[in-house]
Amino acid sequence: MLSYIARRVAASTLVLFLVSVIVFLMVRAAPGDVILSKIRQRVSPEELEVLRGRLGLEDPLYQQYWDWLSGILTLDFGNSLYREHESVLGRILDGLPVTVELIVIALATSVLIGVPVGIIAAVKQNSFVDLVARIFSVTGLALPLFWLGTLAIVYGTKWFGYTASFVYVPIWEDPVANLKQFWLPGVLLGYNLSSITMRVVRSSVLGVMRQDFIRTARAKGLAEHIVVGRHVLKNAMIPVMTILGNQIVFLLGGTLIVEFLFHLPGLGFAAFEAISVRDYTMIQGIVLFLGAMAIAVNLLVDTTYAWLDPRIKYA
Amino acid sequence: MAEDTNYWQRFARKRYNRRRLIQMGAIGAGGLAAAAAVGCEGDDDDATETATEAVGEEPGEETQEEPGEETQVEGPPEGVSEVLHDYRTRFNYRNLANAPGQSDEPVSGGTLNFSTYAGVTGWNLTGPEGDTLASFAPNHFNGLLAFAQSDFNNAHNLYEDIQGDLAESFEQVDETTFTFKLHQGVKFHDIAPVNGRELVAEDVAYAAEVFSGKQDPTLGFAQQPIFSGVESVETPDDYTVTFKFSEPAAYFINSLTYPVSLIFAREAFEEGPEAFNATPIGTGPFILDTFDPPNVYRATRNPEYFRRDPHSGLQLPFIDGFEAPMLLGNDPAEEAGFRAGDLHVIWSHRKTNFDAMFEAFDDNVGQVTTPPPGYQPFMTLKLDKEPFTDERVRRALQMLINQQALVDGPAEGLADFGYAQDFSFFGREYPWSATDLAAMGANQYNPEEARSLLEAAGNPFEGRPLKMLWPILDGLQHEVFTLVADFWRQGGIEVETDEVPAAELSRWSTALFGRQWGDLDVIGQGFAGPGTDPDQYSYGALNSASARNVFYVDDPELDDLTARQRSIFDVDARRDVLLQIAERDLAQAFRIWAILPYKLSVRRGFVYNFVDTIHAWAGIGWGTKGNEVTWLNQ
Amino acid sequence: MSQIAQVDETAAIYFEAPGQPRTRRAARALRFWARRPAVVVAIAFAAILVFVAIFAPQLATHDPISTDPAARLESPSSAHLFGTDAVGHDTFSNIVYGARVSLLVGVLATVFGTILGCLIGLVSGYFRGALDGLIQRIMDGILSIPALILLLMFGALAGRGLWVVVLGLSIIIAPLAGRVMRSAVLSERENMYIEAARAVGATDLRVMSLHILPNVMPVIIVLSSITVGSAMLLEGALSFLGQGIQPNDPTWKTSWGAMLDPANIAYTEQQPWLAFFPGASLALAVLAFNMLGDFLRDVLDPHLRGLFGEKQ
Repeated sequence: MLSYIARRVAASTLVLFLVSVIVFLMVRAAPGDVILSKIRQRVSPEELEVLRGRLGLEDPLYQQYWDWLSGILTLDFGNSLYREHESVLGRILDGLPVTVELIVIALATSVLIGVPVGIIAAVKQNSFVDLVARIFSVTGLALPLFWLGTLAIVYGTKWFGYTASFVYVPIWEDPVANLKQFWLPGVLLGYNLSSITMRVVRSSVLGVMRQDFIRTARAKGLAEHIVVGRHVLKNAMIPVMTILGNQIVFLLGGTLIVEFLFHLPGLGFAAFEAISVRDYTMIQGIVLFLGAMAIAVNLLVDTTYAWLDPRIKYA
Repeated sequence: MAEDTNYWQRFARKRYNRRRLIQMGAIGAGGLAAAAAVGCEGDDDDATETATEAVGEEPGEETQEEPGEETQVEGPPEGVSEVLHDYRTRFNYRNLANAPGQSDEPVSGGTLNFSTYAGVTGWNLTGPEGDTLASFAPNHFNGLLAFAQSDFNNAHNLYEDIQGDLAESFEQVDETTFTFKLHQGVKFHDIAPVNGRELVAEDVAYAAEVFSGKQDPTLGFAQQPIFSGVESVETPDDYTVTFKFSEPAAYFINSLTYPVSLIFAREAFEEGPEAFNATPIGTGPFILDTFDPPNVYRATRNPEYFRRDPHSGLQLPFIDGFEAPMLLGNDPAEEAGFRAGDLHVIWSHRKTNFDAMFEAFDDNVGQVTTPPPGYQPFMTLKLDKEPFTDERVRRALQMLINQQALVDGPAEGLADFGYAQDFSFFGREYPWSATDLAAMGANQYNPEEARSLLEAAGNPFEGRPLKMLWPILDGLQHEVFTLVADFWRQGGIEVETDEVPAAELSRWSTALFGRQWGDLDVIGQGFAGPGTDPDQYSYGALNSASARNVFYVDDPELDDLTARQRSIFDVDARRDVLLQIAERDLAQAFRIWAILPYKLSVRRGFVYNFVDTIHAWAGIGWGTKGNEVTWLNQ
Repeated sequence: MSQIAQVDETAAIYFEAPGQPRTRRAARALRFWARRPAVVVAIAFAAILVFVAIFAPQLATHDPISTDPAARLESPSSAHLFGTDAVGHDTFSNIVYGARVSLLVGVLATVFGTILGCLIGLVSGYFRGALDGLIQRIMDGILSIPALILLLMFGALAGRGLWVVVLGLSIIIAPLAGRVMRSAVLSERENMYIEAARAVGATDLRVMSLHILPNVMPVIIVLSSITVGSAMLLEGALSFLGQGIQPNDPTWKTSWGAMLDPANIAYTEQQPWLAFFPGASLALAVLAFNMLGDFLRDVLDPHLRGLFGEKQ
């Protein structure tokens, strides 16, 4: 087990390194740079060179990469090239609570809707409840979030008096105001995901119910709710954890749309802006950070999985 | 100070006889043959001046009124639609002085909420973003001069009523010498390393040196056109600054009101670009609290601010501060925010949105504001590339655009025909109307002639698509460019369009400036300015030596004319030259014009004395003292 | 979007499970069909979509990019079946052309991504060792960058337009297909080829892939049917953000996501139909393909339906 974790961590480090290279090369290959994003006047090529030089953009690529990477190793993510006085790490730490809160609300919604509905759909397979649950599930997957979000804002304010503030309030400052602005985007995201959770729960429960030991339990004459409650659910929940892990990974970037619509300054929004203005250090920092989070979540899920289910061998 | 050579004095006096000036300007133009148009502008003037008289707060205006002209019938002037006339009369800022509660005594306190955008990356006044900072920095800094805008009763929708800001008084000694007497006891914000020390003449001199680009040519992008002609700056004492120019500088006084020449402290600048960029340490009415794009912009009042309200004697600013979420461009969120009461002011270019917002609360106050000449959708061509070197092709492209359809369609009637020349300098409260431009023979929709012009030029777009790009700035501009592209298609030109998100705007326009746009032919732009004086729309935009000539117009005739107007102190003579410039520019179609939409804003009834004029067009805060004199009575 | 990850899990498990005779699968499929009218509806809708996409120029009542400033923001009428937008574009004609873009992006991205992934998986699984390790880590790297952000970066690099979006989506889909292929190759090697290779003295990559493909096909098809829907949604989101297919695109005219971009959607309150049609079209198209995916999964392999059961 420990050696498994050690190997996974080593592999993850390699993956992170590759992510850093991919991102570094991708953003630099993009046409235009941060100076062009800022300037509003006619500049001569010489002036442009001076301005670029000040940001170190005239250095050879390998040197730029090394400067950046060596900074990262000491947790110095550098400063934004666009807002030169802003630290990248500072922006990440500012955006993290927003994204994390959205993820938490979305996951909670996803579980609160997906798990019970999934169980009911499986236990009452092919019934009317099952049908409704499945329609709900496929619909959730199909609705474009950017569409749902806009409709929610426009008609929410017009018809339902939705009055969340569009100035972000951290949860530790004013939990009520904070939740007022976060619940709707969080729930919309969660509804989108709950359909996946529901599917997985349903098929997982169905799968477990076909197993021999369930048949045995039934043969023993145990009541159906005990069979389901004690034996089925315990075993069926393992894959659900995997899917939740996947959902976290998805949400790390997937919050972008609701952050954009509901004007929440999370990491997705920050990455979007940084990409638009070619803020190299900011993009690299954010994407590396999100990548590390994704890898960490996967690692955590796999490890827990291994721990929960010792039958899985890790050769 | 009252000598005849004093350009500013003479200029200010002339304002009181506006109608005459229009006539003189028009006649001086020679090309403005349509006397009818001039007469109609007179009409329009009457309407607004009558409103002013009702307020009774513009002394001198009535006394110089020529008798007999009041009898003219009120109604839309020629070339102005009913709806436009209705809206810009009904929601004219002058009427706001009479709005319920506006005569109440001001009160201090409260936080003003409005919507802004993440337009700047920092506070480096001398950096590449100097122009954009005009929308933000005047909250924290002061310049030498500003527009008279201390309250409603003194508000003008013209760029001509200049008053001192940091300067207590100013004097034009001769055509090349300008002396400013500074207010005493003006203190910088109490932030290290400046620590609230007093602003003195030396600060002005130092800022001017940086702005001139003499210290470092990559500094002072926005200010170089104003200061590069300065030969020397003298500071005989702590409160006197004298600028000496090598050539007559008729533009200097007007240009100083353009809110980019803001005075900073030397030690703050010398802390290095990072610190200077991070914190604005000025003398302005507000101290920055948070500038956290894309979330929010917050500031609190400067308790040491040097100005008081002349009427009530209260310390300015009245409000304790402002909180501005960066929502501009996200219309659904912005409107939801206004409905929810989170925003006290909202503006748009769409009549429908304006109407809806106006009805959102019973006590709402609406305002239709003349836009500045620079704020309009227009198109820049790659002028140094075939076939745009051919004047006929450019004119054909202009003639294919049905500006009236743009006004009636996406602008819902609340727009005028486009052309960026400082109409304010001609004493006009409103932009050139369709009729004015028709009189100049410019910007006319004439697809037949366009086709024959293209034919004469050898049908250059046959088998060659016209590649056009525009940034999605706001809905209206997006629609205007979409329609323009289709007008060209209807003219038989194959047009390939591309749109880029607003955040990429500057990169594309810079690429345009740098002539790096590959096979692009046309870029839709949102700003032909900005600027607050005719110099920036003539020399700035059109002279081939100007850094502001981002269109790469290179025309010997314009070079000569635009340079000449810089040194003409006589207002009428300068107007003559300016009109010649306009005529040449329009006839050559160096830029392709769409429309000039009006700014439509709605504010809550408890927001008093919020002066929204031509000076405050791009969001709130643009060079304006609007935030400074607003008070809330919640 | 995240169901891609789910398929990934599915695929991994599939190859641990024993296969079933294909004739029985087909029989089961028929029974399924009769029992599932919803699937028939989905298939019918997908067929209509394909029809609309192919005959878009014939079906469109107006040129999708021709404007009419005098007829802006109109409600559905006989002149404009689905109404018009803020510049007088005919919404119906744009919806019809948008079907092209959505389908093309969904299908092409899936096809390219899958082919690319299969090649990578084949090479990776065949050579194993250090090369396999490196390829797998790169794939992990791509998967650990959030999809939308990766697409935005790719768009910044390559520009906008249909092919850029297709290519970007392929890059995201490839690692998923790659994993499926790789595990298939690995298990095939275990099952039969090591012996054979030793006997013959060499392993023929081509022969191996010929043997593997039929076995991988069902999973690939299931994976594909689900990525089609996801790709459509991602394209919509990208176009909504202004980084996908442009409104008035010279070749493709429009995309449903672009019809919902902030400049357009700002009119939702004034003209609700404006947001309704593209949003509903996209939702229904994705719905149809997702249902198709479910259906295929049921038909092609019942194990996939109860997929997690095999682990017990």
